[in-house]
Amino acid sequence: MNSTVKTDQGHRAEEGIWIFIFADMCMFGIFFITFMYERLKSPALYIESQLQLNQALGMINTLVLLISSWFVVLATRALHRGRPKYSSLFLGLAFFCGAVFVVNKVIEYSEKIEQGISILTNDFFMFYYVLTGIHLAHVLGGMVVLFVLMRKLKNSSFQKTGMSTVEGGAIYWHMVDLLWILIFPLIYFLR
Amino acid sequence: MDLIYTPKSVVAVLLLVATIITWLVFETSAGSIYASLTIIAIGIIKARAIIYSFMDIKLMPSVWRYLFDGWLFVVGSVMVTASFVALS
Repeated sequence: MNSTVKTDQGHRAEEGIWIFIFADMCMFGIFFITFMYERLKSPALYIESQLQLNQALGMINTLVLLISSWFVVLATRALHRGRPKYSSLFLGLAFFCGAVFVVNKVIEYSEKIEQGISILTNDFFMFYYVLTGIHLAHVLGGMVVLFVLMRKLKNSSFQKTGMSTVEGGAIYWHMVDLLWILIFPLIYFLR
Repeated sequence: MDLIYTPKSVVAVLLLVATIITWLVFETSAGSIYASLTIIAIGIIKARAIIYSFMDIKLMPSVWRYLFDGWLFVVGSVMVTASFVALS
């Protein structure tokens, strides 16, 4: 579980983090399949409910998460090149994007609650709150990881030995982005 | 600036453009089977780009590539089939 995979390009990744990420993706995969199956039973209800969502906020959040993933890519690259200060800066920017995502989500949930739409309104909104809620928990978890890495990068010994830890955190953040890439069309766009 | 000039930055820009295209497809032709299939296809391509470029899965043993590609194939197939059935 703790084996480290080294390649000729010097990339290191803890195999344990890949197992964790794949297991997490499988859980979301089951959610996606269940959502699509249930949607077939009453497509009209799902489409009608979908029209009440704020597609613009969903779109902005997708762009924000993609940009955050890019910052994480740059943070990893900076550390590879022996520039930990830049690495920390890019992780900070990714963290900021995560915070923007969370604020947007809070605005979106508030709008829905003001309209009297809750998890109990119908099956579509049950999936909406559960899928996006669990994903939001992953974003918050990822932000904690980014923050801890940012702090750790101030330590000179971690700057030399923490590459695999930073890459593990980066891979987790990319998974959070990847899942949103699929939740976005599934919940907001698909008719 | 040299940190930003990397093929992964190009992938990031393409992902942002693909997201805007998804929005335009939705705005112009939401409800048609072609729009749904296009939106799903763009989503799957974006997810695969993240796995292969950002996550660098190509640097892992091949079993991981099969697992992630298999996951994408299953999720993508279900999305396409369900959309097709719902709209046909």
